[in-house]
Amino acid sequence: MTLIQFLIAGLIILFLIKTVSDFKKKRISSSNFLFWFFLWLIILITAFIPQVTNFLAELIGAKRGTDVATYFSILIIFFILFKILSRLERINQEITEIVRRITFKEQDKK
Amino acid sequence: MIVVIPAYNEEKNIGKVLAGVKKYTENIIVVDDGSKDRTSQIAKSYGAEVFRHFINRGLGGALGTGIKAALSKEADIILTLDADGQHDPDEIPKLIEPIKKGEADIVIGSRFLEKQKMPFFRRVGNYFFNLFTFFLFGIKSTDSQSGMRAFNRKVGESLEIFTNGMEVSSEIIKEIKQQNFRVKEVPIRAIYTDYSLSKGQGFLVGAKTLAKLLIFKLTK
Repeated sequence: MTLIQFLIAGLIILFLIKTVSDFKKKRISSSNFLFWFFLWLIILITAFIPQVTNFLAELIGAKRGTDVATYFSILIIFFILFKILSRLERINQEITEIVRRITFKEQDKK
Repeated sequence: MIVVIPAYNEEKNIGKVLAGVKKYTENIIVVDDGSKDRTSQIAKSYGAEVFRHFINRGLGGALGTGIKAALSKEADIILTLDADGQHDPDEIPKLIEPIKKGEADIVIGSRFLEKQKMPFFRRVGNYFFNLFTFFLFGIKSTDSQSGMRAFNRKVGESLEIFTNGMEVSSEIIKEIKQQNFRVKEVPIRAIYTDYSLSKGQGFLVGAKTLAKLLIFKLTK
């Protein structure tokens, strides 16, 4: 075990605990919980047994397992970013709708 | 006809704009998009009806409120223009004439149909927007970002403005295409002052608008 493996594992376990406790407090939906729980779990496994990624690397034609992990990480980050941005956009639209209704209500009062 | 003017912190210019518009109609709706200055008071003093957002929601949000208000007042024709003074109210008749004659459902004032002075970066930026609007929505427009436009009630009712920010201009154009409205572009003059330049879409705001249009296209 190298030091970096310990550091990553420690962090991931913290994230896992946070994910579970958020789910228990109903702060995240069950689909979000499953997504994050398994994502952390996969990262945890690869941190302890990096060799598993080599199998994947051979399968898809990358040189090393760590490369595969990096590629997928970036892909997942972009996916999450896109999800957040479109969600933000929707929240923005909803706020506008609320502000608009209040504006019309105030106008009716006058 | 009802004129809709979205305004955000425009106390310096709104008076002049309203004075110009009043030559053509008394029916003016100003949507004060959460201004922190005297925009609302000044607009009221010119006799405009003011709808005030208590939080700033961006151009699209303000336009949506203005159009909804105009429709509730039985508007037959709705004209929108910017509050920053870059549009000349004396061009209002030119925009509404084709609608009155029944030649078009929507008339867009284009700043590029006739040669005129425009800061180089604005010109390039607008060119990109037109190109982008074409790629995303398949619509050719000489001025996809124009804020001066007039349309009839039918168009007003079908405009569902989802977006909040500057990307609203492209969205309106998309809507036109989907509903098969008759569009006409008429040349307008854009009055660029240091002030209106500081308020329009600079590089960063422009880039953000492009990104939002892309997300909009991908998620809707």
